[in-house]
Amino acid sequence: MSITDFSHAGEQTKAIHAGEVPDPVTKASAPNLVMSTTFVVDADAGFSVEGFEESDTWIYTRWGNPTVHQLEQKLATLEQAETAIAFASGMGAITALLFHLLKAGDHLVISDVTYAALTEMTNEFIPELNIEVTKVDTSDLEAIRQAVKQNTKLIYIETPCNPLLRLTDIEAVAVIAHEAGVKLAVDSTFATPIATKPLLLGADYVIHSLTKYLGGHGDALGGAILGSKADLTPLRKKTAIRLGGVISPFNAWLIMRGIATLPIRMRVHEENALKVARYLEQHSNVKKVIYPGLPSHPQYELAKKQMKNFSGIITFQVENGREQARAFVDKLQIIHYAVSLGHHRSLIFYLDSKDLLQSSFKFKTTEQLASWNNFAGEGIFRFSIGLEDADDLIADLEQALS
Amino acid sequence: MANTKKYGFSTKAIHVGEEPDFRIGATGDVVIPIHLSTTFAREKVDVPTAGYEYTRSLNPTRNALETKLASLENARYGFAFTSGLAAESTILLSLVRPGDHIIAFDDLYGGTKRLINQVFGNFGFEVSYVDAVDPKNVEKAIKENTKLVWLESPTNPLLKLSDIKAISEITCKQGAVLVVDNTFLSPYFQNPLDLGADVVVHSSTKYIGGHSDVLGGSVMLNDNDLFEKIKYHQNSVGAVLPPFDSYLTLRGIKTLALRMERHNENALSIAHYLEHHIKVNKVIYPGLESHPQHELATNQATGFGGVISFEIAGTIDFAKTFLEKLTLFALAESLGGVESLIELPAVMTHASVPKEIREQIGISDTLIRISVGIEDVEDLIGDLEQALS
Repeated sequence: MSITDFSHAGEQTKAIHAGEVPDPVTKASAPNLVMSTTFVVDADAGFSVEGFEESDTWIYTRWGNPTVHQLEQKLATLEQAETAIAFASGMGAITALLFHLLKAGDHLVISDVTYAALTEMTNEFIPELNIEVTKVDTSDLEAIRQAVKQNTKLIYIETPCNPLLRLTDIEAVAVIAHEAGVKLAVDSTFATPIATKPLLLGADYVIHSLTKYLGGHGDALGGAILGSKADLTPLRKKTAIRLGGVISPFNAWLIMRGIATLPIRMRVHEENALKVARYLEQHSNVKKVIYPGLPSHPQYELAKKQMKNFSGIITFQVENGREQARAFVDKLQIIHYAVSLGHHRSLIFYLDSKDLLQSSFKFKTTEQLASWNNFAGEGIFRFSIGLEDADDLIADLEQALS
Repeated sequence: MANTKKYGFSTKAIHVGEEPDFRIGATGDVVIPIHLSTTFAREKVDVPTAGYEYTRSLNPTRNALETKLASLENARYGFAFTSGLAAESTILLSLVRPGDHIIAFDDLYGGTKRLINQVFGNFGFEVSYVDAVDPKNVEKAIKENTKLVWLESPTNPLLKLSDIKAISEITCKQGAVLVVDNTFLSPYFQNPLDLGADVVVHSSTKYIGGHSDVLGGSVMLNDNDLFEKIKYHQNSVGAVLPPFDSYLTLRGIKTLALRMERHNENALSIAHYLEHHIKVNKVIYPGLESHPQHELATNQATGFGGVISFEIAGTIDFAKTFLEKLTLFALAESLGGVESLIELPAVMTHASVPKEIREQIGISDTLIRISVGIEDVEDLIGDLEQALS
C-alpha cells in the first residue's frame, strides 16, 4: 500500500512521498527516470494538442512525461494547488504565464522591483507586443488600487522581492485584484512553500524558479506555475506545450530528489541566516542589514504574518560596496562570489544601485526611488546563506570584512 | 579552503573536494561536473598531462567524492566502489592471504558473512566468529596468524555495539588491521578512525547517498601502506564507482548532517512510542536507556542513527498483516534513505541465514527492522498506530 491522501500529512512527509508511488511494474521504491521522448499509443490517439486532456496517456514528452508529472504532483501537494506545470527555467514559466494571459490591448500591473530579467522583459519586450505595463511598488496597496484599469488582466508580484527583500501583502492584493476581476500571480521563489502558500491567501497563480530552494543543490534549472485546473489546463495546451519551454525529465528527477530534503533544508537556511544577520547587524563596517526575520525589517509584522519560515536570503550594505566586493572575491574561502541563490552552498553577489537603476529599474516616481533607497542605499550584497555550519560562515565573513 | 580540518561537518560536506576551478580554461563552476570521459589525452608521451589517464584509475568526479569522503571520517584517504560489498571484497583482497586468520563479529550483515564464508572461504582463509559485544571475546580469539578483525557497530539488525577503542588496543598489540563498518551511524555520528580503527567501510547506498537511488561503497583510512595496497587493488580489480553515481553520492552528502539529525530525532520518538505499545514485546535502539549498551553508545558516538528493531507480539502472521497494512512505510529491504522502510529480517534480509542460527543470535520470526526516514514523525507514528490496531 502507499499513501495517496496528503490532506493531513506534514510538510516533510509530503516532500518525500507526494507524486512518488512505487513503480507499478518493478515496485521500485525510488522514482524511475523516464527519458523516452515518445510513447507507444493506441491507433485512435489524436495528433493535435487541441484534443489533449490532462487524463490522457503519455504521448510525447513535450506534452507530458511520467517523471515530470511526478515532480508536478509533488509541487502541487506542497503548495496545496490543484495542479502544476513544470518548465525549463523560472523565466520559462513566467513567459508561458504572460503569453497565456495577455494579448495586445491588455494591461499588466507588475511590481516595480522583480527579478531583473523579468523587469527588463516588461520594460521593452512586453510593451512592444502592445501590452500596456504599469510598474508599482506593490508593498503600497493604494498604488496597486490606482494602477488597476478596465483592461487590466493580471497583477504580478514577488514576495519577498528580488533583490530588495521587500514584502507584499498577498491577501490584501488578492482582494484588490478580485474586486476588479483581475488575476493575481505571485512569484514565491524566495519564500518557498515551506514559508508561504500564496494560493491559500487568494492568489490565482504561483510561480517558482525551481533552480533555487526547491531543487536546492545548484545543479538543475527549472521553473513552475501552480494554480487551479481551470486556469492551468488551457495554459498547458496553449503556451506550455506549444512554446515548448518544458523541463527535461532528468532535471525534473534531480529537482524531485532535492525536494525530499526541502523542509529540513529550509529550517537550517533560516537558522543560519538569522545567526549571520545578527552577526552582521552588530558589525561596525556594516551599515544596514535587511532580513525578514529581523525585527529591524521595515515590514517585520507582515513577515511574521505571511512567512512561516524567513528563508535564507539577507542583504547588507557597507561603506564602499564595490571595494568590499573585490575584497570578498579575493578573501572569502567558503562563501562563493556568484549569482543565483537557494543552494546548499553560500553565495554572495554585489548589486550596485547606480548600475541597476540604469539597466533595469527605471522608476517613474520619487516614492518608488525612495523605497529603493530605503532598502538598497548605494548598493547591497545579496547573500544566499547556505547549509554550512553557521560558525564557519561567520568566521569567513569576519576575516573578509575586516 | 586550504585547511579543511578547522571546519564543521556541514561545511566540509558541502565544500571539500568541490572547490571551484579557476585555472585558465576552467569554468569556476560551484558544483563538480560529471566527467563521463573514460580516457584522458596527454600532450607529451611520457606523463599524463593533467594527472588523469583512464577513469578506472582516476576520474575527476570520483576523486571529488573520494576527497569529500575522507574528510568526513577525518581520514587522509577515501575510496569509492560500486557497492558496499565491492568495497569489502577489495579490502579483503588487499589485506588477507591464504593461511591468514580473520576474526569477525558474529552478528555481521548476511552479505558480508556470505562473502567471507562462501567466496573467501574457498581460498583457505581461517575465520572465527565471536560475540564482539565483549572485547575479551576478541582477545581470546586472537591467534598468531590473525591479520584482520572485522566489526560492525551497531550491527544489523540487532543493533549490538562493540567498543571500538578497546578492541583497537587488542588489534594494535597483535599488529592486526581493525576494520569497522560504520554504515549504520554514518560519519556524522561516529568516526571509528578517531577511536583507533585502521579502516572504515560504508555502504554509501545507505545514509551517505541517502535517497535510495544510488549504490556505492566507501573506504576511508589514514595509513600510507594500507592506502597503497587498497589503491592498487581498487585499480586492478576495477569495481570503481562510476562518475554519474559518484555525482549523486556527492549530492546526497550535502544534506547528510541535516538528514542524520532528523533520522535520529524521529527514531528516538518512534522507539519511545513502540516501547509503550501493548502489541510490542521488545524494542532495540541504542538511544533507549533500555539498550544494554546505551552508555557505550553515548560515549562512542554523538547520535544513535535511524534504525530500530522490535519484536511484535503474536505470530509471524500477525507481523505480516501489520507490515502489509502500513501505507507510509514501504515494505522493502535496504535502509538509510529519506523515506521510511520496514522489513521482516527472518523472511527478507536474513532469510539466507539458517533458522537455528537466526534464533541463536536473536533474530526471531517476529523481529521487525525499521529504517526510520525523515518524514514528519507524527505521520510515521500515525501509520504504525493504524497498522498495529
